Amino acid sequence: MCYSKKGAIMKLIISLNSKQRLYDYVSMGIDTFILGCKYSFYAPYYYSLEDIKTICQEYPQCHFYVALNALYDEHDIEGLESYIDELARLSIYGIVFEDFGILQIVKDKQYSFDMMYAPETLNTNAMTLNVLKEQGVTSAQIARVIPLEEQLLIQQQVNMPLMLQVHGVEYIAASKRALLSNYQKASGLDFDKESQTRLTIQARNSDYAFHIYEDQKGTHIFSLTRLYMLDLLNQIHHFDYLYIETLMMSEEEAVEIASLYSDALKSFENQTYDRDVKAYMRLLYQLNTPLDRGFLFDQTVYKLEDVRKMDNEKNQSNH
Amino acid sequence: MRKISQIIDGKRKIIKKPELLAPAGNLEKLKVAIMYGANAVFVGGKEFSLRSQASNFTLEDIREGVEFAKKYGAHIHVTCNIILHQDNLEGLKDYLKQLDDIGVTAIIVADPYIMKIAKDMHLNLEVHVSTQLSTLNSQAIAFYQKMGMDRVVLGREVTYEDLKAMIDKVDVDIEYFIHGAMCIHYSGRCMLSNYLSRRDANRGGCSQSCRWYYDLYQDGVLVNKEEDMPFSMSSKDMSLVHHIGELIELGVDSFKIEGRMKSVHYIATIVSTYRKLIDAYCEDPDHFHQDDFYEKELQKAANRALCHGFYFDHPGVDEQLFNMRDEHPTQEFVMRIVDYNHQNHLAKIEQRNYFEIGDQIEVFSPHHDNLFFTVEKLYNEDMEEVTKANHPMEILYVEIPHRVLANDMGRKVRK
Repeated sequence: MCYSKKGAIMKLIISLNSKQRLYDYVSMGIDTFILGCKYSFYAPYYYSLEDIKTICQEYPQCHFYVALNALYDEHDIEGLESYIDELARLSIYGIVFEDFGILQIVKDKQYSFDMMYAPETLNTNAMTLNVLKEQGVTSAQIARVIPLEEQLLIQQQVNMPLMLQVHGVEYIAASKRALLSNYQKASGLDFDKESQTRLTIQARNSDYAFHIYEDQKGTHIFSLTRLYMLDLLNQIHHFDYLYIETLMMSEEEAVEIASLYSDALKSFENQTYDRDVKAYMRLLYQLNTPLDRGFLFDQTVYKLEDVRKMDNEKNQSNH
Repeated sequence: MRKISQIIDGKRKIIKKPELLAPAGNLEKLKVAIMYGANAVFVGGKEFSLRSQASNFTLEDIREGVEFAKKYGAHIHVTCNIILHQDNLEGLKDYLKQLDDIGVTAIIVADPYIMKIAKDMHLNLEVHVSTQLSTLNSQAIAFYQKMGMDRVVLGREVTYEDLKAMIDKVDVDIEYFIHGAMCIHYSGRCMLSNYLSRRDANRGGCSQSCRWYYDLYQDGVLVNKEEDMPFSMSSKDMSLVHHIGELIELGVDSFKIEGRMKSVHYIATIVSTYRKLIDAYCEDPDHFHQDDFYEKELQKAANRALCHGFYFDHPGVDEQLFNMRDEHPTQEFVMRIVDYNHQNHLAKIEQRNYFEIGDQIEVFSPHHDNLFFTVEKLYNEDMEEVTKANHPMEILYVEIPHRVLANDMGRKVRK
């Protein structure tokens, strides 16, 4: 078996994009899932409470998190409190959240969910996560916008289970505004603003393109490429949860990706991973999806002086 | 319930006057903000602060700012609002201790680690939760309250109705944005700059990539051709000038003006306008009539078109900028009054932008109504008559028929 530093088994965790595929995932040995619901800010699929109840009943051996991953307005709070009461009656394992209001509600009601703090951009150092543990956070997702080296340092220094996204599109930004509808009105242009995958934007003079879509909760921007770490298990095997984001994936792609990572983990456990990894990577490339390393081997700059220094170095190397 | 007003001598008066909190990118702006009526000013230090492009303050600058503020009964807040990375932890405690020793009133913080450290150190300074955390509801505020936070700066997405619903449920100070630029995405949750510029938005490097122009593709086919309006995610600036009375009646503790990178003229104009508006409303709320003076004043310094932000609901198409950046200061800041001799009507001034004989100037001040005059006599420092003021910061003498005061400012009225 493959163990994280806290002694738990390293697990794959998947955002469930199809109830019908749950059996396939469970057959692969995957037993931890994140479910979208009506209060999720984004999710590959939004399940009703009835769906969640049925899923939990049909797969009692699995752990299900529910994504309450939005920043909530005051007028949402009453409904959310009732919703959390409903969730407490089901046998879900935890809640993935980014608004401390959710944590406060759960603490006040003394529910025993695993409270996974996943604010997309903020979990960038160990000390902060350890402070949040004192405040009731029981697990967390590490930010993607920091290098792998820093992610590993955090993993070593944080005393609660940590989740690392290993595959899938990366969150870029989100707005409460209807940015595409506003643009449609201003420009008079016609386009499908609600499809999660049809529209992309590319900044002029930049090579970087993003997915963009709009729904009732606002406007969502994700990377066009999929982050991947299939060949990095030797480095990341101490994390508790390796997360596969299935947003914007077809059912088939999600199953293929889950299968690849599941096999790779088994291979890692059997100590054949170093031999097999090239074959896994070949299979990944055959899926023909755009892949990226995100910030794993890159970093952002902290100060303007650093930007200037970086620009100077770039200019000098161009001469 | 917050007690907002009380009957005094048969007339209702506001007894809970909100703090007017202004930005400052350097000492000059800090002093101008206070002289023009800010109750508090927020500044960034050299470390642990966002807006790295703003000319951030050294500890000595902060000390001077605190001493200056004290003379006016004003306060200095220092932003320590970066999201820490592993390598940013060094020196934090020493820095907080120094800020406390200097007499800073509050630090504005986004990272819970800094919140905890500041409270564990038992400092005198208050700890305020930054808008970078996009706090939108009373339960999130309760969380910070239980961490010992003294104030929460709300996210710009909070509507008036939501503010009204939450304000009496919470027992910490509430700070609400009333004027300035707006992030188009949730603050602290936008990584556009990180991906497009490798500049970390949560550590002071935001390149404002949201305001760039974008090509939009559907299924790989370009939607917005060259002749079409480019796609952009640029917000108009927010101004709640028409809603200040409502916000005072709610008992909001602090009104925040955004813009540490804005000019001295901008800060003076915006601060003095809101100062006059707040004071006028609080003096006689039941008979207050808001004419268009305040809005017109704000327009004189506006860099972008103004809107209500999220005050009513989701901002629509009219609250965004597309191919019309609309950066339009309507009047140009040309002089700062250094002194005035009311015997010969000569004002000693510091030149800030070009002007010449024949230009019409509007003088504004925290202490009197706006005054207008036409430049007829202009002298250099040697009292030689000149026809134009074309050297930045040059000391000149100009004849002004009305009595003006030191630190009043003059704008050129567009013809």
